Amino acid sequence: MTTVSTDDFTFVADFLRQRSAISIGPGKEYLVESRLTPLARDIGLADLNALIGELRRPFPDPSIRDRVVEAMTTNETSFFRDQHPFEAMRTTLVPQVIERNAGVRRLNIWSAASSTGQELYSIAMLLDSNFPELQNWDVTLMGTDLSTDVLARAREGRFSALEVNRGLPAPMMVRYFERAGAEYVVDANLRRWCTFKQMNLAEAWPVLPIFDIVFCRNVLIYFEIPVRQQILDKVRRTLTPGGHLLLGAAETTLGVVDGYSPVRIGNTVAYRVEA
Amino acid sequence: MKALIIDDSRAMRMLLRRVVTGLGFEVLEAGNGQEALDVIAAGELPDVALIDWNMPVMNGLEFVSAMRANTETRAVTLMMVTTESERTQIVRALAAGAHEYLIKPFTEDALVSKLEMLGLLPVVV
Amino acid sequence: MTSTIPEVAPGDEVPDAATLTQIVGDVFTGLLGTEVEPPFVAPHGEDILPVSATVSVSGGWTAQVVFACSDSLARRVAGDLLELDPAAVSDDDMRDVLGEVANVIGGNVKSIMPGPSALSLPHASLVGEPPCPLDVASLQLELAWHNEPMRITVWSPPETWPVRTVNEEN
Repeated sequence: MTTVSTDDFTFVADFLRQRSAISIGPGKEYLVESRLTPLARDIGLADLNALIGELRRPFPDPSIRDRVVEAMTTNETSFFRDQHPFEAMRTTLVPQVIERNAGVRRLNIWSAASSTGQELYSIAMLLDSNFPELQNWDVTLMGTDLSTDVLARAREGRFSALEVNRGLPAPMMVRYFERAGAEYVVDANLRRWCTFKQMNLAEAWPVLPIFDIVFCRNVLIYFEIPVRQQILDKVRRTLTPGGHLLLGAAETTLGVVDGYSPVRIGNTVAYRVEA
Repeated sequence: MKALIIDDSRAMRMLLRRVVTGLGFEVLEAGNGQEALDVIAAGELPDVALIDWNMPVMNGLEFVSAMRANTETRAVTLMMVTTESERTQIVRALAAGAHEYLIKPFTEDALVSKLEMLGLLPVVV
Repeated sequence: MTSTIPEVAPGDEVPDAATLTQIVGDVFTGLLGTEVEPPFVAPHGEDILPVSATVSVSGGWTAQVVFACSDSLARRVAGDLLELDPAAVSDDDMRDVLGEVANVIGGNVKSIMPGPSALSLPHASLVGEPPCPLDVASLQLELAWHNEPMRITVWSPPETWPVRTVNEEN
């Protein structure tokens, strides 16, 4: 693994400070090396130095820039990541759907880029513990991801002790997880609500149901700007009028999202598709 | 905000102290449940206690029960930080009145997320 | 004719190596930060390691869990946790840190074996790793962290295994 030079490290630290709330000081060089070296490889660059070279350009590629920020600033996926969107679900978004769909008694939620499944299982736990009436509803919780490996893990619903510690309230952990050796498995009843399918957001989409709520968090940054807008447009077409899109914490501060109206709910912003 | 760290291992107390001090907490320490009660009796009521289970003299579960039985200390947020990870143990601790449960080994961001969930950290918008 | 044989089938009395490796890796990651490379498997021979700590498990499963390592490894971990230069780490600090590592490993091992069981407080030694008895079920894992050796031993004596009587018909 390439060692980052002091000069390069200072550059990256300054770059991050300008673009995010994160400040990293001397002693954290290993963080830059361990997180950005795999990213350089993913992007198809020779090594870490090449990646830093890209950042040093007068007009760095926005998607490389954003991916560097994401790699350095965000934690790995966790249950109830960032908390606030789930609060918004509990206090406002789900009650709205229950009222709106009282006749058909159907609720469809999509977790786009579902990764190892924490987001979808968090949604399932939230629904099960806060909205008992949904037991008699037609509930579809769909998770999609590009990687078949993570989908396989997500379907198993197996998590390590470290993963289960993060973001999960203890009463929920006790209620919805069983021990399996050194790991924890999501309760079968909850897993039954959740389906995981492979899908590439940037390519042709399969036929999808109409959704009441879509989670598309911390994935758009992986795409070029024009592709991001295409994806957002396609997501909008899968949302029912009055339905909501939830983005990642850093993405939510980007302000305007074409085709949606931002709605502040508690400490987060949801993006509503107008009727 | 005051955090009371209760663990018989000095190294673990230091690790926890480092994390919560970085979050803006003032820190009190105790090496077992009885010492912790003594610290509180001396006039220092914490906002949150981070409590190991297996300790000499008075263990974490006994400490939780004592805190919840006393009207003056009932409102203190109680989080177990322990290697006891069987579901039966977690249920026991929650039933005794613990509010949260962090299993060792844990990562720093797991502890931070639990404190956030308990409403003990300033909200970042 | 009846005979008593241990209830547990061979291989059940101690955890398997893969699970124990995962536990130890998680412990190092948790104690020392998420970016630390977990210990990797490295056979390093018969030498008794100089410092160790032991926890006992008793109840549904009875066993001893020993964490032993080189002086350098212990000092380095203690230095990281206590924010001290490794050379400035005292004997008490060493015992404390070794004890806590054994505590966390032992507690996690206990939780995957038959229960309910109780975990003792740790007992540390700076005069060498206790020998693993013969005629017990045992698992020894040799790992390394930053090229320094460690050994985790889990052993369970047969007299503590539940027995069942079997009628052997001729």
